[in-house]
Amino acid sequence: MRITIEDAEPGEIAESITEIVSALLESDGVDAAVYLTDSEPMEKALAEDSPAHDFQHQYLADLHRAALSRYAAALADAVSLVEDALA
Amino acid sequence: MIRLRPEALEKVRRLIRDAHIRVAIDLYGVDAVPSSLVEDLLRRRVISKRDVVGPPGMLGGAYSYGVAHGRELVKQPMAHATRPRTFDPSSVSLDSWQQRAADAARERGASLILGLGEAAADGIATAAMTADEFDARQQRAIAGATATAIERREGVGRLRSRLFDTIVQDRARDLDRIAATELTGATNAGISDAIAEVADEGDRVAVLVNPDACKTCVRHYTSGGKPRIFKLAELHPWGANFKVKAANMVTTVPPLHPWCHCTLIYVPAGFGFDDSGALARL
Repeated sequence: MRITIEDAEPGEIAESITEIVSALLESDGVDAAVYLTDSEPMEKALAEDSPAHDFQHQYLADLHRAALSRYAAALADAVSLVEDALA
Repeated sequence: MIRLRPEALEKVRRLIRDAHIRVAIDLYGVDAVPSSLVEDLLRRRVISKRDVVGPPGMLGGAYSYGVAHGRELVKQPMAHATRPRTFDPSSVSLDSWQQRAADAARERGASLILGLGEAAADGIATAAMTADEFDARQQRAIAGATATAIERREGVGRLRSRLFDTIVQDRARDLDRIAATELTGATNAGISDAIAEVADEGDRVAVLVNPDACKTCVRHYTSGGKPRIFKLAELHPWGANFKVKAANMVTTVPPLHPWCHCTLIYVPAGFGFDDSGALARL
């Protein structure tokens, strides 16, 4: 999942972050690409075997989603401030 | 051309670090973050006292959730199939040693978020400097006001693109992994500690793997298509496999590895797994 933003206007990146995380949250499970980490074949096996590796438990799933939303908001804020600082 | 002075770069780094400190406070509670960092944010008015989230934070109740579920498993072993949709961490009474374990789990989670912030800040600074140097080289090669204007616009786009890639493609994924793994770890640690409250010599545990579990978890936690049964003491603490290759991993209380979603359950004396792999009285 990538968004081309070469021509992005100030503030658009922050919006894009929110959109990406929102898309992750709205999808049923998490994009398999998210599971591809830099360490082990095991993660690749996870991605192959488990394209939508849901949490078993709703309470934990809700916490997880809340954390992602909070982080998305923080990143969006930070990127806006960074863009201002670089303007 | 974008020229970033050291002060600007440091400002960028600080903004990214501050954002992660705030997230760590929100997710794990203010007492899970070094007080010096919190006081610095308050002094610089990045946050106000109203913004300070007390324990356990958004994610910090996972250990208590595990303890509550573990106690339920001891009373009703088949309860592993049902868990509440909602949960109030304050409804669970913890012994002093369990409270220390809960605090340790929150501090661990917060430290990972702070570490993520440092990595993100470094990545942002590197991306900004790299783009800046590239722009400087281009600037020397291109003469003329029009070309400079175009190059500046493209340079800004490149810089934004790199910032975006650095933060979103890498760090959001990292946060996702941290949240998932730490939630699983804290919950299973709580389950393990609750079982340890009452377990006697004859009691055992097992680990339920998801139907789509990875080969490593299947190898460690199952045998012949059924969950393996362990003494609780046979399982290493979770986190023991940090940065260990799959072939060298030891069998731990879940998570066995990042992104592991396996679950510890209680297997009391007289129980085992039937041919379908379900927990049953034998």
